[in-house]
Amino acid sequence: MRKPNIFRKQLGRVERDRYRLGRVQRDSLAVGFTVGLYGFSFGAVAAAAHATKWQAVVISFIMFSGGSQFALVGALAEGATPVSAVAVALFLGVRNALYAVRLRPVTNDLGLVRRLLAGHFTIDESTAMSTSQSTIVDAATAFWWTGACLFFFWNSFTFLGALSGSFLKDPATLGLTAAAPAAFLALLWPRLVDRTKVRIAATAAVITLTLLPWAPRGVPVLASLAAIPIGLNTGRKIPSAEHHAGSTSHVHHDEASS
Amino acid sequence: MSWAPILVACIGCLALKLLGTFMPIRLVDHPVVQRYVPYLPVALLTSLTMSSTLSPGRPWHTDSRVVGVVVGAVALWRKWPFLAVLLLAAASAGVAHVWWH
Repeated sequence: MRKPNIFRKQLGRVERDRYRLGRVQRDSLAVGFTVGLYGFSFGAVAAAAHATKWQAVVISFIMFSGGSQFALVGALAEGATPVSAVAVALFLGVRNALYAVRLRPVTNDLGLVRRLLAGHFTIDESTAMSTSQSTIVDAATAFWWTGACLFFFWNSFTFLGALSGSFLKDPATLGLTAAAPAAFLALLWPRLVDRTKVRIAATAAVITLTLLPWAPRGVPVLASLAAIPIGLNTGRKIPSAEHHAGSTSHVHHDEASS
Repeated sequence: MSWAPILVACIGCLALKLLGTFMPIRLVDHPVVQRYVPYLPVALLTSLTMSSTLSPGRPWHTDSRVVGVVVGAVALWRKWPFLAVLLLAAASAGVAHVWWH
């Protein structure tokens, strides 16, 4: 006699949850789709850089991190050494490790397979969507929905982009040579939210422009990392600056990129 | 394009994510890491923008890409959506390329 009662109670709770989580799921789907669309441009840029369509697809499927993907393909297309191209992609991927730490409350209690999948879905957008929720249930929902939707659309559109790009004879005629730098700029733009970041960006620009004419390909980008300690240790010292650069701020800044 | 750097970079980037998911939190959550890592994308993306817009020359080689990036910057400043920025940058660079050649 008790069984149906408990069942009804659980059903009621699930229904309430589903109603309450609708907004989170809708938002996550929207982010996943719109950002996923941009996988098309990665596919096209990769094809313009003479990657095969399967190479573009493998990169989107395994690497699954926009900045690193564009950096790898862009650097290899420019004739950078493979080592420096890989290094730039990895440096851009380091932030995902920190995102994964932020997401530990959501992933800690999962089984091995789901944890591996959660690790793979850890990117700017899923982290931003998850950490902006107020409850752990919403945080988990936002993470999985954003991650899974984005993974699906990003890979689908990469394939379509690579297909369309492989028909092109001269990428410069269609302006595709400008798509990669414009993509880097568009990824950078929403991150320039405070003085410190603008100072670091300006320093990185000076380093790059200085080294570009004579240093081997890929080296100026790696050398630009020196802009971080330079930018952090110069300029006006504000008492709260240390705290601001600390542990919780970066995820929320990156929210703007989604 | 050769497969070796692609696969190494893919596996490396995935490994970095899994590091954060599986490592003891204390090892990844180090103050030095917390201080510098948030700024990695800003420095690298700035440098990537510059070095993929300009090529080595005397002092830099400029072509239709510069037009595309400048138009893209205006679109970003006007807060246009991502795809619109890319399409506009590509279209203007394409026009500039055809016009110059």
